[in-house]
Amino acid sequence: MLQPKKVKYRKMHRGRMKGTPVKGSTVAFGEYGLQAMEPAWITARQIEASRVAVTRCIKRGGKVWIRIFPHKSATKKPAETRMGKGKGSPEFWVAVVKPGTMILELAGAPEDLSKEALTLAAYKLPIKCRIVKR
Amino acid sequence: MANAKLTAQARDAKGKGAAREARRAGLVPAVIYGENKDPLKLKLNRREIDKLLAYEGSNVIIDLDIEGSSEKNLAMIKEIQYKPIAHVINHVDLIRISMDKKVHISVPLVIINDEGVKKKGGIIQQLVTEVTVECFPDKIPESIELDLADAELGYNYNVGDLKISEDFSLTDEEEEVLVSIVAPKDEVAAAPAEGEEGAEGEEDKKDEE
Repeated sequence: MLQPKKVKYRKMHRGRMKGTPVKGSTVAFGEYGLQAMEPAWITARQIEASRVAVTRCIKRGGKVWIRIFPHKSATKKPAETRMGKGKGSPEFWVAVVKPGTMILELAGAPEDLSKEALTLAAYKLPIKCRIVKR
Repeated sequence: MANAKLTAQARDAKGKGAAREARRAGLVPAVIYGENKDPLKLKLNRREIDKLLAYEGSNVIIDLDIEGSSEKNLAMIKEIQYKPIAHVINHVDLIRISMDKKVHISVPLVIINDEGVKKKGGIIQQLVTEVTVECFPDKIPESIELDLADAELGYNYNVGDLKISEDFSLTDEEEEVLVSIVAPKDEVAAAPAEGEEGAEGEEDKKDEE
């Protein structure tokens, strides 16, 4: 799974997901892309699941680009813990995705197969997505 | 090819408020600059610019008629900004040109005769979709073709492999790889793993390679 090699601070503020992305919203590398239509935190596990779904669907041939990276650590308090006593410990890594962000890109596979692969990848994500062509 | 025609209005107000007002009125904020003249803020008709892009493409010489100005403007589209979700035009940059000066422009790279590669089971990885050419504005090619008729597996096509006419020259570096013809991966590596999560992880690393 994707995660940063080293971070300066372990725990982060949650932040806001207002607006549209400044960059990373066009198909830059491949022919087809999976574009987010909603804001969300996409976990490293979800990114990996969608990547696996695409690579299995296209079998051999084709190239996949992952356009997002889980830079942000997300914390969780242990179960059945009373409130207070500080922030929980980092549990997983997430990529902050805004509407319009290109999540995956695909090239080298026929159109129908590419669309099928990206549809399967979209099922693994917690947001509405659309498939776009370059 | 005849020049495309576009009408524009001069725009005094700047900033996001005025730009949004223009967009609500069916106009697109734009700017024209170049040729050592002062830049000019403009408003274009959205329908006109959409039609121009749909029928003529973006590499076209435009006769720009600015309302209230008698000056002739020859221009080309330098950049178009789109809204990421709605994919409607947000802003257009136009650049003034003169017919006796060469321009640098991006032209689509089109692959032809790729049936032979597919028959051999090779995979075409197109790394670059556009190449930059330097030419006079009236000699801009619609596209540049890369012929893969005698392609071998494992061969990389560079900018230097492109056969082009004398009307234009390529500005990209000759060693830049455009297209790679790669052999398919082993069936074993691509076969899906059965069973638990752990096995999947190992399988996927192979897939990625």
